Amino acid sequence: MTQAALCQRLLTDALAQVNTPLAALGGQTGLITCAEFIGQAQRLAERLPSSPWVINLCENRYLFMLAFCAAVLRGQTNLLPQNRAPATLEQLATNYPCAYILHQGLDSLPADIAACNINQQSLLGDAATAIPDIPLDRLAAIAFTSGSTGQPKPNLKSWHTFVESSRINAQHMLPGRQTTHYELATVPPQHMWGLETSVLLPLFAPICVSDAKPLFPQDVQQALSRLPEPRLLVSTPVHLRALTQSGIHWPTTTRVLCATAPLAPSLAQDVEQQFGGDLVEVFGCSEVGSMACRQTATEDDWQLFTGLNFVNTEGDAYQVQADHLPDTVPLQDLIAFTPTGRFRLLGRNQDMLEIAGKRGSLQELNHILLTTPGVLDGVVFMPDEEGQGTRRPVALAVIDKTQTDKATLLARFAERLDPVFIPRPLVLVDALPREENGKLPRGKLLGFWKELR
Amino acid sequence: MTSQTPAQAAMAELLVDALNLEDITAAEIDPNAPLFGDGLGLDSIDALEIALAISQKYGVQMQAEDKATRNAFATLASLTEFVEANKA
Repeated sequence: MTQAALCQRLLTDALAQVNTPLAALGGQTGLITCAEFIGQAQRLAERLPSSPWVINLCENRYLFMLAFCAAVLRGQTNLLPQNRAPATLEQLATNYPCAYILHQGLDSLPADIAACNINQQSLLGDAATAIPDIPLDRLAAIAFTSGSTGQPKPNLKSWHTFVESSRINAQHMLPGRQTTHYELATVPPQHMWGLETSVLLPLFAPICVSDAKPLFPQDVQQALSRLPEPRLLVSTPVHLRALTQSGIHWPTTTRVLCATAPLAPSLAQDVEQQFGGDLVEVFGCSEVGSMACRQTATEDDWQLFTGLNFVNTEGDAYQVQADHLPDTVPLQDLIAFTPTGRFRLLGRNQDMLEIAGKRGSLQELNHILLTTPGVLDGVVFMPDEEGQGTRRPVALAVIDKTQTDKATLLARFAERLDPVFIPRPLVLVDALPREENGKLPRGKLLGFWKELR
Repeated sequence: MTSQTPAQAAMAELLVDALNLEDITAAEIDPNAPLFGDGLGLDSIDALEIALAISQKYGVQMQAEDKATRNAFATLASLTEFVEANKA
């Protein structure tokens, strides 16, 4: 097999529910069938500028999905940056010459990168009568994750990878393969968790996804209520905590999927009780995608997805291997298999930051701090868990006050990072508690931090 | 900066508590300075934390799709006014 269909659904199936009036669709809202979607994607594909690379910045989930599939149909690769900071886009355009930005109407765009506004195209017209095939080796997307050196790390995703991983995901994440589930996601479509569950899954499994990306509990309640049963909610621990504590009465939701950060069993139990359905927590990473799941309210151990293998390399370290992945991927977490064939997470990689579905690198934050002119010494770290709020990275800096100041440091972070990763607080100190050999052990650092507060 | 009304001062306390703000005290938040972007530099996760704290303290649910809520998040003054007008 060298090709696979763009969409493994019936042409008459409902694929998406559009709530937002979009100029590209003439302001029409409501359910969109697979045939309508493919017709629109084909029309958009014909009108895209010529280039091997497209930076897909569409924010509306349905427009993102259209742009994503139009690019794949046209043989263009979706570049999915780790954030939208100006420096990030400039760097992408440098590394991928001729890349253009596909957006839905952004006020400020980098002046020297070509751009195409999807809302200036009229995509309404005849529905498709057949589902097109895509070569399996086509490079559908490059998902960037924050790298430790300040250079983002490209994760290559072929059509083959997406087709197979979606088939596996559908098998493990959905309650049944027959009934259509109506999905709402609180996560953005362009990061791996949202991409897998709210863009790819509807193409390959009986799911009709809402274009909404609600933030506040009341918005989630309204968007969920607009969907028929059975409902599916895709979210993160940060969002679920806000939902369960809001005091809102939730419409019955058959399945809630949660990923991106460890979920407390007590929160999982609250979710199941308030939503009247199962909560399935998913374990994954950007390099591979989703890999395992558990019903956190009642289970400690993770069930590895079929088709994926964890190969022991040394001690508790493993590599992930699968037919649909181009290479083996070292697992960032240490694990231990239990006699039942499930596994337990022993510890997370200290460098990795996951906040609200976005992934960052502590090393990258440190790199930004230490390469700022006027910074003599400094460190960015995650403090230990305290209270319920979202944890933020903390920065301590020793600076030459004649050369820089706190506002300049914060501005440097803001130019390069998603806002959630900007250190808070950033504290200026006279010196860091380094040992004689220059090392800064975590215990000593945390003690110093505690004294500062 | 204009001085805070008692209701604004209470809201400023809520913000500092909900967000674990370290660099600024409640009394230092200018009622008319932008909360997001270049002002206090808050982001969407903060908005979620604020909305949660407000729903728990005042019983007011915020909605991003509602224009009044979006406008309410502009400043401490507008947020206070919105909550005062909508609380039970």
